[in-house]
Amino acid sequence: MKFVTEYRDAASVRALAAAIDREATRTWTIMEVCGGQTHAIVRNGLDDLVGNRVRLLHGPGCPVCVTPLDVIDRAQAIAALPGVTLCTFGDMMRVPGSHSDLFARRAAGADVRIVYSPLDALSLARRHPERQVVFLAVGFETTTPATATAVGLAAKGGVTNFSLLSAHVRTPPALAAILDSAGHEVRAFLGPGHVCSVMGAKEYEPIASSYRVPIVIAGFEPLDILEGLLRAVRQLEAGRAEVEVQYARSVRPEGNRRALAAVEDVFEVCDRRWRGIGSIPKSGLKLRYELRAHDAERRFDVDLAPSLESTLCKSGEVLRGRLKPTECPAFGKACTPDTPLGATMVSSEGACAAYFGRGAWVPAARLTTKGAA
Amino acid sequence: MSSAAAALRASALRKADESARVTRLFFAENGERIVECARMMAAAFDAGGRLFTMGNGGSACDAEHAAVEFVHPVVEKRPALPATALAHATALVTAVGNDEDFTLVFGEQLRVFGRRGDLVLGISTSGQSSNVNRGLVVARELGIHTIGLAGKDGGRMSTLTDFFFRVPSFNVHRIQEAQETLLHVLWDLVHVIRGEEDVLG
Repeated sequence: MKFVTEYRDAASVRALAAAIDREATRTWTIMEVCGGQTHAIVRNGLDDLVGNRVRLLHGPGCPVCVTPLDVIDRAQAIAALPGVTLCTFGDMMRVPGSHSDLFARRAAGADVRIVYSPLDALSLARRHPERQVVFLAVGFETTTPATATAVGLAAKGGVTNFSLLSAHVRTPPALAAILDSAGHEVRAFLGPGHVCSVMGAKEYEPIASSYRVPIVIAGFEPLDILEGLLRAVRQLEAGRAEVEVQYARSVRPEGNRRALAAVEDVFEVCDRRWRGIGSIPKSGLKLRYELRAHDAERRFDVDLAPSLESTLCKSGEVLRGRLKPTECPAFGKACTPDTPLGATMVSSEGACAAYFGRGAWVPAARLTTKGAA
Repeated sequence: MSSAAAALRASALRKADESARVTRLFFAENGERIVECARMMAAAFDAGGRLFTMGNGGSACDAEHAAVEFVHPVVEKRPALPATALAHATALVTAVGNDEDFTLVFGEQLRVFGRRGDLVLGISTSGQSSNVNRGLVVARELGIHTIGLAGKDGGRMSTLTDFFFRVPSFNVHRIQEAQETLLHVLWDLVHVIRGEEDVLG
């Protein structure tokens, strides 16, 4: 497949890994921000390939994983109201709330629909003016413009039965929060390629210069990741701390201006709690006051019991790069994709799901030459 | 000195050194613009303008501090200049915040009290405080001169102001320390530009 196969060429990947091995004079700890990058690294064994010289930490770039527990509980409570249709992306359906998940709520009679775009939710609202259609908006800067477009169209078109429950988050404050946390070991970041395709790379420059960490905006194929790591290693070896764009086929430094303008028209910055991490100032997006008629949190007054997180779940430490999924006592035992304790085992961008997918849960003693017992 | 006490002392000195470094770097990068801003402020006061200051939390304290410096000068014989901090009217802030939205608490006051030719100073460590940024937008609509103080990456504030000053740090305390020094310096330069003696060093 053109533009994909080339970026998975094994010989090129091995050559880049060899270059990293040659040029690094010590082991550098680098965090990849995006969950998609985590999955590519784990699926392709890239962490093992560079393990001599690069220690990879998995970052919090999984928006499903960091959606606050009380937002999940609120979405479930709203979905249970009569006359409401809750729309969401598929990977939110199985994220555990305090007591249940959206799949279970649907099974109990709530009208919960999977959509591929917030515009699908808007179309549903137009077709069914008798229902209140709520879109659970989750995602980083990559998905925010689509949500903003849907809300903008709803406002202009007078679609009064469409509202939004926003859990959108912003990545630069998360990186700063990681670098501010005591005992962190991050020396460089692989920045999120698709996020930066929308927001550009400029917002990362003050972080790179203030904290003295290289930030290389990388893509998601093996060659992208290896080249991104090599560029980061070169900066670290030279004592530089700059923002570089490896993913130049998608990222422009100024980003996508039309997308950014759409977001600016609809959202404003707010503080946001990140599940497993805590509150990160100015890391969220909420609807502007002028669009409050489309704010589901204002529209639906639901009684929420205090949110209850599983005491066994270590998602927060995984998201901050403090723990590998395999180091969690519940991994592969109490916590599996069928019985997830936290969002990192559910989401297609979650680190725990990535590790489970490559068989990391199978004890070595059970593996035979014929495969897992 | 015990080793624990020595460690604390060393920590305190590190922070003081970092504060001085950030402040020096900030002034080295922004010296000319600071003077231009002070000139603009002096001219506005000369023409009868008033200063409104805005901020939240620690920045609200700094906004009040700035207003007090202008209204109650520390140097004898320097004239008082009209300034007020918009967060100090608690009843008004809570009324607007409760009845409408907290993002409107400063902008709504400016619509009532502000006039063309006045000055507005918005203070935020992130540059992303919605109520401060909305206040700056309203100020621009009314023809009020706008000054913004921020840190971190500057947020949205940089696009909303006539003069924008970003402290190059992500540490809230270091940002606030540099901003406080800037507020003192701006107050001082305004008076020197208006013909007062430069007595403060």
